[in-house]
Amino acid sequence: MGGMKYLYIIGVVLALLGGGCSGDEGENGGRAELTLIVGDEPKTLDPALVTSLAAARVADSLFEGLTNLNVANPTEPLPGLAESWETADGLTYTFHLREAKWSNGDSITAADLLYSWRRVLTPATASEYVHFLFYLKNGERFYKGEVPFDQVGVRAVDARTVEVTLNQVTPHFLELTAFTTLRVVHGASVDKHATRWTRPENMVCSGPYTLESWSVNERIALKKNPAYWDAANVRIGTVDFLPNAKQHTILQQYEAGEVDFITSVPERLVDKLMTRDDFHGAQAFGTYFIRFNTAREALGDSRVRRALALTVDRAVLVEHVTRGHTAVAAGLVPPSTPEYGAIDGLGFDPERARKLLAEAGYPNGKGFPTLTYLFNDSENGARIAQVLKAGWKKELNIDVDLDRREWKIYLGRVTSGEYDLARGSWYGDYLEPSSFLDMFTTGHLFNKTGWGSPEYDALMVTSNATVDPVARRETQLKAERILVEQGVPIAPVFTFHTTNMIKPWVKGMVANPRNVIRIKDLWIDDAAKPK
Amino acid sequence: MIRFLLRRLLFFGLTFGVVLVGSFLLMHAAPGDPFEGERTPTPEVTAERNRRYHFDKPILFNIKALREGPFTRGITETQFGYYVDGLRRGDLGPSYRYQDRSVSEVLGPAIPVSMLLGGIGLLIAVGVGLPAGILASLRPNSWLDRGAIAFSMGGIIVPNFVLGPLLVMVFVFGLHWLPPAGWNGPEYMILPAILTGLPAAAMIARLTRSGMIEELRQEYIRAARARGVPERVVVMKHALKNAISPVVSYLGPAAANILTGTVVVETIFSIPGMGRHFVEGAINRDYKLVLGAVLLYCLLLMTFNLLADIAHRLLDPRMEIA
Repeated sequence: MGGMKYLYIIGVVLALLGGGCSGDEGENGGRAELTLIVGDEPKTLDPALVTSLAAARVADSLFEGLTNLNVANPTEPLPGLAESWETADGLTYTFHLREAKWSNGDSITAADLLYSWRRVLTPATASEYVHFLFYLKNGERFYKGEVPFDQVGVRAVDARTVEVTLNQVTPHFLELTAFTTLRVVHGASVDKHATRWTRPENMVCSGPYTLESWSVNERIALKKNPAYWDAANVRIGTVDFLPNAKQHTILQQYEAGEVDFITSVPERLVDKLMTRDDFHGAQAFGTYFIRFNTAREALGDSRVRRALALTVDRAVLVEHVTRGHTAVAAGLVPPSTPEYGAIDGLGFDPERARKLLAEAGYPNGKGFPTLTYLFNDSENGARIAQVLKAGWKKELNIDVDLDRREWKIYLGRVTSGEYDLARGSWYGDYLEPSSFLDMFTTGHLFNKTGWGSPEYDALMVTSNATVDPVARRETQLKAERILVEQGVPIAPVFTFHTTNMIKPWVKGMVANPRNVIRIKDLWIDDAAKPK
Repeated sequence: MIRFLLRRLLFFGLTFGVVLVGSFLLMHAAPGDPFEGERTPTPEVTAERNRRYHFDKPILFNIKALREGPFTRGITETQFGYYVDGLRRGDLGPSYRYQDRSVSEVLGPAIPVSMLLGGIGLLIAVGVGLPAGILASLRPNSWLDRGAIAFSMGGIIVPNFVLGPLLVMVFVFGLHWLPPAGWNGPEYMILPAILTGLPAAAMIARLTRSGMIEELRQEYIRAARARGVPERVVVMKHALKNAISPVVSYLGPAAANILTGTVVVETIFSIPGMGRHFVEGAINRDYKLVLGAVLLYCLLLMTFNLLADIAHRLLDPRMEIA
């Protein structure tokens, strides 16, 4: 009798096992050809709403833009939905769309492009990257409701030709047309399904892949899109994105062969992993910097800010704390920016710092208020903060309290100005210095320091309107010197690094500063797989 | 029994109500904004979101609406009012983070996963703990018994975020038997379920052992043995049935512990269950998602406790359940 009971229980368990397992594998029953973990679970796959690099990596595989990023040579964009384009003056562009089809067989036309850009420029869409379309003539005015859409600088000449008119010459415009936000969506689906248009069963794609299934925190499954205009060159048939997890877990999954491509590893193991052939690290297009709240006592004086910046021992931090491929940042704009060069920056000069502090009225730190350094909850961040605090005490004899806060609270306080000194970080969206420098113009939404300089603002306006690349760089370097060496609302500390680990049989990844992963370019070399 | 059930259901409803209001208020009291990011949203985007998610309405009492229209508007045109209205219709609200989905759509697939994980964990807890406790009680102070006690102490004391990585080290990278994370089939469930069930197994072993030792000392057991009743029947049918009472009492809290314990296990093994959504939702200030998870947990916990109490009652009708 007792034995029967156990059989019963085992039977129930087996039934549950069958039922509770993920039923969402669809046709990808087994393992996909390529499995990646590229960051946090996407909040959405709607290109107009995507904000994270991780989500962009998925969305870019589903939707095509006018142009495609040329990762090897970013200043020469590749064709996308537009097979060619021309511009006489850099103000007006004419794009010639190729004959391409949506995944449901519909033709991709100029109307789709206009629909997509209009959607981004509509406040109800709540797109956070809408400012990329403010480069269009009257783009911002339409957004604010001042003019109707037909006044905006984009129009369909015919079904295959689009004419774009900009406010002023924008050298990186063709890089922006490859950006996720500006990619083309299928208007009829969006209208019909509203917020549910991104469901796998409703989504209509123009990119190399279609969305097979999306199970939150479990798997995003992509399948090759046979209707893609360049389908002949897409070599991987099925792609899975697994959810983000603790860094150690991700590494374990990679080592156990469950994942082929990861972008994040535990900080402490970077040194050890760097020596491996499957580790691909480089400097990233991002900078860690210190923000100074110029409204606070003592910090309103640029001499004080310069003194604080001059006593940050960046070399020590990079060598002993951040390590890997991180590098000392002399300026805010990362060295990996194409054709830019770099400023000298302030460097590490405690003598000069002490003189400046004395000049400002705090000889040897006397009378200097105790400031607080605000940073987010991270192990490395805490170590960096401690080095900063010790350095300032040692070199300037001032006390700095450390305030370690949870992410959202840290963000909220920086935005509302409730800080003295704060950790800051920025990754550029496009490979131009302005993607770093624009935000420190007076009153910019992302400035958050209270600093402003009419000279800096003027230089930024000039450089953004300068056509000649050499002259533009000169102006930008001049502006950056004002920012980093004179005004100093921020003190750059180090450049971030990328930490990709890629199995040797996954080929085709081209290292690039923004760590853009174009799945379309990748292919599997079966010969390189272990037997 | 009926009166008991009715009383419990009434208590059920009251508890649920308190949890609902309390959680809602607490969630909104937490500093931090669901939509804050490195790139601060523009005023236009913020205004649109305020409108869409009713953030521009007061939380509990809308004095302005109260003054204008009928009295009820003061309560219904509030963030809490809209939420309860949704609950009435079975709608747990939108997720702020997963903009394409509602809370039900996010939590829906996660519930069976957590249930399965917890269920197998509970089975392991009983399937390992009960026999261990019984065997230990039959040979008190032997090596078997000492081993069982050591196992119990270990299981109760060692935290699961220590034990988890140890298990992974041994079974994944040492023996290469099992995968390190994910939820793609039976082999993925083994380590997480063990980790989930082990603390409860340890406790059940302890309770069973002490209960059995107590019972086996009793007169009626000696009498049964003297009558020639087979030992197996003496132990399993007579002694166990009486000794098991504390274990059944413990099953309620055990299920609760297992359920809340899945949060850590799901994070370690990257399992798409409710626990992960609960934690990540709190970090992301995804109010509705967290509230949905809280209400679900509340329902589950209260149901488990109720079932355990009913089982207890059935086992021994002499017991007075307060």
